Amino acid sequence: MKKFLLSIVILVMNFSVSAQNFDKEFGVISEEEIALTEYEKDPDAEAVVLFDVGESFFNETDNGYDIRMVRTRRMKILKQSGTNFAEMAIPFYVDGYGATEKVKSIEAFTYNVENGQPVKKALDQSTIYEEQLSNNWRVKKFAFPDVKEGSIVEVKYVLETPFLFNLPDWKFQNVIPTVYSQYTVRMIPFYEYIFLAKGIKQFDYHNSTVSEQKRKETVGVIGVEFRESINTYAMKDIPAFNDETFMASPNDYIMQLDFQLSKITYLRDRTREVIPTWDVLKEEFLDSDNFGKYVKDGSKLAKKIFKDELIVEGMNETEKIKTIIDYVKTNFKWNETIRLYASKSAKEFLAHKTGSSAEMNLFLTAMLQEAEIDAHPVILSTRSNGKFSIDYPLVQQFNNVAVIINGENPILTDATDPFLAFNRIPVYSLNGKGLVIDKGNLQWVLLENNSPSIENHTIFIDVDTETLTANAEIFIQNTEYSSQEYKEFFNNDESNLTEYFETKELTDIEGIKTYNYDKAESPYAVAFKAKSEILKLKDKIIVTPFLNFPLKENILKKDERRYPIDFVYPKIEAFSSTVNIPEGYKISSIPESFEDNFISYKVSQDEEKIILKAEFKLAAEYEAKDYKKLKAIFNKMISRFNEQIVFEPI
Amino acid sequence: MIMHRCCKLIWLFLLFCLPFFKANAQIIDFYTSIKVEKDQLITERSYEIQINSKETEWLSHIEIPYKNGDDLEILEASIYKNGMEVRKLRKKDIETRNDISDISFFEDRYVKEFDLVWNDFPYRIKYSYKTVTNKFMYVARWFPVRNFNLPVLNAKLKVEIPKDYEVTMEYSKDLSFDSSTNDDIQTYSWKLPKSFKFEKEAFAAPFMELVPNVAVVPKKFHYGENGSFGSWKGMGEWQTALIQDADVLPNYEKYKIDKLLEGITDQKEIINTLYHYLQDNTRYINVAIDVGGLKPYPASFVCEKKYGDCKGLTIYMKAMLNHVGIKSYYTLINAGDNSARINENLPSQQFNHVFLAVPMENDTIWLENTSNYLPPNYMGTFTQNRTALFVDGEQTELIKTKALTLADVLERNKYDFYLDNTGSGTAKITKILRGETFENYRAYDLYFSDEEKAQRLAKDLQVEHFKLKDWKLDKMHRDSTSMTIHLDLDLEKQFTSYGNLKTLKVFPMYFFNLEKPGDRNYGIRINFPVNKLEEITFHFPTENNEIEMPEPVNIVTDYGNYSEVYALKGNLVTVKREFQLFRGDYPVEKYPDFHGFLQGISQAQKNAIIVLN
Repeated sequence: MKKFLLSIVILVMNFSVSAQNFDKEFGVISEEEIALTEYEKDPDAEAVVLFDVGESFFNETDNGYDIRMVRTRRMKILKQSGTNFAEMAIPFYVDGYGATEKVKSIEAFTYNVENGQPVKKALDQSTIYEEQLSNNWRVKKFAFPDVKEGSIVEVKYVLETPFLFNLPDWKFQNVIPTVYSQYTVRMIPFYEYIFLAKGIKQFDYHNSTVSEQKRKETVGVIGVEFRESINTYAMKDIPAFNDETFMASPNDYIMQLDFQLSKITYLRDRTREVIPTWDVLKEEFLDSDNFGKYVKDGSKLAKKIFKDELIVEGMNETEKIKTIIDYVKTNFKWNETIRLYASKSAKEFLAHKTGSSAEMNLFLTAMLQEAEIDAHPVILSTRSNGKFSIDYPLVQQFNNVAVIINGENPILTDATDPFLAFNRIPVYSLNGKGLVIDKGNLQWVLLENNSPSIENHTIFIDVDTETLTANAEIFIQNTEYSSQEYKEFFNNDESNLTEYFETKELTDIEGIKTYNYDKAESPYAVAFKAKSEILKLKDKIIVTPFLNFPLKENILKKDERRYPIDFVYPKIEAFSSTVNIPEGYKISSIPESFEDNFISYKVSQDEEKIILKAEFKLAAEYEAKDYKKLKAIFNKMISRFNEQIVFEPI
Repeated sequence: MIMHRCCKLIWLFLLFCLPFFKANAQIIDFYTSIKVEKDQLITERSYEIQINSKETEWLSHIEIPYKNGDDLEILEASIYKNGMEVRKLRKKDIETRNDISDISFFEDRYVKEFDLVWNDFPYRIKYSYKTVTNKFMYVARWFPVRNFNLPVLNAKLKVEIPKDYEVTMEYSKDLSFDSSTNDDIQTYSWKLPKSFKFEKEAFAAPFMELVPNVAVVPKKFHYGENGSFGSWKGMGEWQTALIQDADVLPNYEKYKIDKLLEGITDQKEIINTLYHYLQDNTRYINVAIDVGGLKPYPASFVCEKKYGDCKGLTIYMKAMLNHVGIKSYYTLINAGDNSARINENLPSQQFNHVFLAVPMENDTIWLENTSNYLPPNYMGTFTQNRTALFVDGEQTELIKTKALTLADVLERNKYDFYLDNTGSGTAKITKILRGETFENYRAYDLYFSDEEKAQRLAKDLQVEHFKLKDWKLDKMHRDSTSMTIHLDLDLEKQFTSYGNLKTLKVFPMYFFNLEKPGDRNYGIRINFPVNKLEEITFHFPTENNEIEMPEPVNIVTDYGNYSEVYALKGNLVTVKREFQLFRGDYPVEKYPDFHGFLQGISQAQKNAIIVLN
């Protein structure tokens, strides 16, 4: 036993020198891997990827090339809770027109130690299942056999793809830590790719070389000899990626390598640039049946609408813009899908009255243009789709369309949400920059909103010392995105609102009135009366001036943060309360006024009443380094905004 | 989160996973027609739904489930505005995907899904589809609801079967019923006499027991094997045939087990050893293909893969016991902490889970084979106190599982708060868990990472303003039915000052959020008892004679009891509180009383403020 302990100690020391750098050969398991019981860089890890190695190469077929990626991956299950990770799911794409990716030659093994000896068990091929995720996506999945704490599992498979524009991407980071991850791409001269490295400052290893062996390409009588260019990228000791709160998209941060086809070289020295310039990309959008031409078709239909139903003549430009946006929002319905291109004709859209974001917004563009407004589509990447790289004019990076109206004060708009003001785009589109698709110079627009969304609670409290009740009149007003969220969430429904207010421990809720539900440009307000219990201790009466509306629990839970904290848009939480001093009572204690960069709290009083005004301001984003400070600010706000007033008998 | 797993025995249950939403739409018409023809079950369903607002627009997303091998035909799918059809579904707008439940790794079930959205409200959608299957265990299992809170104005079921096709039927008396005979066809029909809406309520029986419903069960069926629902015995014989020969171990496993049991002679110890071996070497993975919903993978498969679903793992356990000459019985149960009770008058497939009964001389040992963390013979919240089918060929019978008692679920918590004059300090907490919390924490202990455990422990504390400094889940014997946990907290802001009044709020035990008596429709059901005993001691730096403590509370009712008592001794204030909730079924008339009981507890906890000066 002593010997055993000693060998572990030595092992651990060895690891710290060699950074747990194990063998990466499929089927060769080292004693170190078997002995490993904890991943030293993350002792809480339930499982660890020991290595994940991929190699993609071009394989000659009867009619050109396909790409094959051979992947080998080994994992150690460190805790029983980690057995859940001993499952594989390998997605692949089926285009529906006969071309399909294939997952082949799956080999998988589980290694356990029995009676001191490693025992290897192979995956039964009949337990590999194919799940259909959608019309176009499938996944091969299986569970490793005989898995328990301490098992090592490894898999090798080949992903075969005929889609040369889609050289397999590589994720270095996983939800569990990864000791070593490496991706090699063997390029041939006919297809050139660019790569986008996300979440990676520098590769731990990167090498580019040419193959020793020559390959040959023959077309008819012409033959070319060439060497492959071999590019290898590696990362080691990659931490687990397991915090996705307050983040637009994990895709923006998870360490990965994406490839895009940039150029095709044909024999006889002909080449075709696949990655265009931004200007060429714009042209392609303008020429596309499902984009530029859709707008053109839409214009013809718009002409008829302006003739038959919607009169905008005589209006000034702002009136026209508002009227047309309102027309599209009320006469058509967004089908909740976000698309970059229209998937049906403008005519069909008109007939169906519903459509995707692309169909809605391109049709809006058409109507605006037909009314001689300088409007153009803007292509963008939504928050969940991730930030795009401005270095590469790649259409794949985008997934949505908004509309810009040029003028002295350019307006960004979107027709999909009737709860948003005419000059606002949905929250999910607030993500970096968008590209204007027009015939002019290259124009980028910032997709952001700097007007804070305000949620303002105005409360009047009349204290009934007999029944120990606070009779409250409450007025909640929301602007901007807060207003949209409130409308979306409660649907202006009295019972929904009542139910919500009851969670704030209010009773006898009555006389609910709402304002501006149908007016997207104006703040949405809810007014009502309610009662709340008052605490009496000894002879003292205790009143909570902002009732239970302020936040009670810190939304920032973790102790540390590696990524920026993204609140999407600036917010202001405001409270104002007027509390009547009950007859026969005087103030025993009230909260103190104070102010800092985030919080302002003002208290004033006269003989009859106390007035408290509190405000909490939050910017759209904070840097990771400010996390602890921000967390403390939330704590402070929570404790201050929930403070009470105490009255005592005169 | 993994807590309990219960395997899905039959895809029918899909219908009962009802999403929750608020009314602003109606099912205008829901019509189901079912025919039995040449051993095939032909079902046509049609819906007409009115959607009145954005809130209920999601109802325009339609999912039609079917099983691999069944024929599915979508007959109609259109949108209507003012009675006019304004849009028809196109084939290319239909997506197909696998439909795999949360508890499963793979199932050969699918859905076809599509949207029928129109631009302004109100509008109606109509859709209908037909499925043909030859694998069925119900001719009809019909509930005239589609979603919680969604009113159904008209619902009708028509069942047509050949005259010589024998069925058993059970249906709610609040449905209107009709039957007729024509040539060789027997027709039955049921209708909702008036519109109906189901709303979910706390402490109530599950939906399937509360909603009017129809069950038509074939006397004879073929599902894997020929079977009969003529009696529970008949069903047992079919189930026996289905598992026939599955409970045999491969030779190498026999050898392994012989070695494992060397020197052990006591029967109970043999069972425990094998059960521990199962727990340590297998995991729950559910793969249901073809008749796999009811027919287990053989023990040899589970033994090789070291995973399986409840059926597979149970058969494997049974095979191990077989090998050592201990007889055990495959037992079907409807598992869950609030599951529908078995209708004993209707022999039929009403179960969703399988476990194992090992009859001993004076008692029966129960083995839950999907759990890697529960002690042997632990009858938890998941399976306690209900009817189960003990499968033994001709000797098959319904049995009753034992119920959790107050003693079985007694949880004891001891809190010691060491506070300075500012309300900061530390706390030491010891909890002895039994019953539901024991089951949960055993699972957390095994499946959670340390970070997740700490988060969970912190979340389950009602104390405010603390930091979890240290914690420990005691390594109890694995057969223990209780679990002790220790927590060390750093505390701050435990005192609240109101002017010159310094107070200490005693953290609550429970909060109840229940519908008001006027809104209640259904009776009360409490499936298993709750029993909690807490002692909280506040250690103050000095003696304080000014302390004022709340009045003691003692609520005694038919549903349970609650009491709290305060005592001051030197620099210590001790709070002892006790809460018991009894198992029981009570009619809806008792609800105001029951509600009053829980409200009384909430009120007592609100008043639990100690004034320090």
